[in-house]
Amino acid sequence: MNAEPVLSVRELVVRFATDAGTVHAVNGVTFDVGAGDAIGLVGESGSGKTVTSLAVMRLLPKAGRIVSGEVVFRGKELTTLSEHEMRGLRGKEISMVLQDPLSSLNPVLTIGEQIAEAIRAHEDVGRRAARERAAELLGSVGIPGAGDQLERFPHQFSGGMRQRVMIATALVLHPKVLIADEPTTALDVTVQAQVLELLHELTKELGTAIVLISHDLGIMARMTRRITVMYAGFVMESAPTVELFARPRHPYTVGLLGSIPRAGADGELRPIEGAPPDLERAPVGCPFEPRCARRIAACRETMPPLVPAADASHLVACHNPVPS
Amino acid sequence: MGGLIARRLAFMVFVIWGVTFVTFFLSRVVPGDPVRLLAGPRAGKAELAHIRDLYGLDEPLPAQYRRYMTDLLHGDLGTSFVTRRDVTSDIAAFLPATLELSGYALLLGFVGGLVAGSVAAFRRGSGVDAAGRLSAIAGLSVPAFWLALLLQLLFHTQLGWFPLGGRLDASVTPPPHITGLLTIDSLLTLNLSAFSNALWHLALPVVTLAAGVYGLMTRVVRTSVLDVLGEDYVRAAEAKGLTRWRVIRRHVLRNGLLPAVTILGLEFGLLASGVFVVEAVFQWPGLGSYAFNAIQAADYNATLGATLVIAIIYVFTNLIVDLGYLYLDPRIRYS
Ligand SMILES: Nc1ncnc2c1ncn2[C@@H]1O[C@H](COP(=O)(O)OP(=O)(O)OP(=O)(O)O)[C@@H](O)[C@H]1O
Ligand code: SF4
Ligand SMILES: [Mg+2]
Repeated sequence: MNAEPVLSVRELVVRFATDAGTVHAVNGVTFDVGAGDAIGLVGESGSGKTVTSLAVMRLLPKAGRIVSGEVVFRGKELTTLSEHEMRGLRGKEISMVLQDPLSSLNPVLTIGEQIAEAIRAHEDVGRRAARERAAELLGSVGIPGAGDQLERFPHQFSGGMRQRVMIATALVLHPKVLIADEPTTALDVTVQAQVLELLHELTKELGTAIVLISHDLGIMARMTRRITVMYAGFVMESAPTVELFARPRHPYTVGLLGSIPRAGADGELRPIEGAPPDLERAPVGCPFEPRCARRIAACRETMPPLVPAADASHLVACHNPVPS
Repeated sequence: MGGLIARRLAFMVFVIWGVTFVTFFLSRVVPGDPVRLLAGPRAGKAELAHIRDLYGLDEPLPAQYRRYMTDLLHGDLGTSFVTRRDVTSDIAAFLPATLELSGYALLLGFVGGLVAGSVAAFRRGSGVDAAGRLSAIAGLSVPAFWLALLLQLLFHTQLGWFPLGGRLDASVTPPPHITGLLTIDSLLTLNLSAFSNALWHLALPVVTLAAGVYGLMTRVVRTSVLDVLGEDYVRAAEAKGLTRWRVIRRHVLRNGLLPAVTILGLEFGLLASGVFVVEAVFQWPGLGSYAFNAIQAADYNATLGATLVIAIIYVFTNLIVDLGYLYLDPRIRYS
């Protein structure tokens, strides 16, 4: 990483207060995103990827709270920002695309209304001007007949079109950072590729940094320059994408990568034997310990710190890392 | 969509016919002889036969039914045995009081339930939420006659704040008949003392009648707003940087209130059944009282006429509700 990071997450801790007790969803997550950079967050279901990104946006559900840590955006600490100032950043400086493009569009409002409201939330433009920009935007993401399409409703669009709309909307005000939480999971494979291509082109063109969340390591390999591997709300390993694929050091990462067919085709995360830990108990030691083949005595006692492995850009949190 | 409306209209005609059919035969098989009631206890055989003949009650039932339906198609609902006037003009005289009463009750219950349900959802788990839910259960489960008596006891007998019943004090000159709704007519003629007196009389019966509607609305709105609050599109709207109020107005309320519109039909049902009791307890000179008296006197034509009008209103309002829903939810409009 060269330049000053545009977004920097430090030791982020998020907990949920539920009827059953406290859920330790995120337990000290740290990562940086450089301006115009593309990083990935991977991890099994429940590892805290979505909660982390919602915490960055300060859009956690009511029960969730940022307990400690920092989220610094262009030198500004977001965790303590007033709701008013935070609102001014959402959608303008930091945007988000959610996983399911159907459920993230309101079924009773037209596509045009939903794009226009994103513009009008931040810019003092009239209805007409906003509409014109919405039409332009639809054209730019390859939806033909953009003018008429504005009057249509989400259910009249295909999944791929809806996700194009979501991406276009998220990027309409040229944000510095785009968080895309599994943006293609709900789409079929051919459409996935098109949507990713669009995402790639637009962010490149606008110089938007992207935080891509995905289960799909094939997508990660193509789309990101650096990957952060999460497990049970902890960062297990963080390295440049090429390095991570070539020399994974953390036993959990090795388990994940074991699923990628050598041919280089897309691969989903292979389920590693065993189940993630119960997040309702305060974590002690390494959360991966019960499932780890390389565990040693220290693993039950203390959580290993995230430290440089071979070189400074390759970080790993393990008492007994895989030799490179 | 045109086909849909045509089908609905055909179905409505069928329902209305069904209601008259059932009421016609039902009212004649239940015990009670209108002729005896009419003629009085000392009437002789010849007199009874004369009345029977006059009203066509000596004919066999199918023939009576055929005649009734023929008259009905000509807009004639027959003569009331009791008031000895056209049932049509009776209904025209009694209906406005009922419309005024139930209109305000619907408005109060609907708006009240809307506010209470949304606030309870937004403040889920708080004291406000508990109060909202409790009041909803109370509104739905307390019988109308009981609530009516309770309100009368408290606000009339004990506190003396509100009148016991009726639409206007005897000392107040009623406004000229324009719409038949006293509050409207008095406002149109700028008769403020009649207006306030009419409102004052409306208070207790309207509250009684509104309770059920309020309870149902509050529950439905609370549940659906809670559902909507958990939707991805609400989070997506927040992620766009919309203000909290805009998110609530455009996304949460707009979607959360759709189910409230669907149950409007049900609420008319609640009103229609409640109005009989409320009019009886508050001596409200409306269609409910009229029908109640008609049934007691085995006044066939009046019973049938009142039932028919209630059925028509019910069916039409339901149609309007459905069309409104069609307008509000594009998923249905385009499928
Ligand atoms: N509203 C909530 N209340 C309580 N716990 C929650 C809530 N939302 C998330 N969690 C918990 O936080 C943990 C992390 O969830 P998160 O959604 O971030 O996982 P994820 O990595 O995004 O998984 P997936 O790949 O399935 O999307 C999970 O154990 C989840 O149960
Ligand atoms: S710290 Fe220990 S248990 Fe955890 S991954 Fe490393 S070796 Fe395995
Ligand atoms: Mg997730």
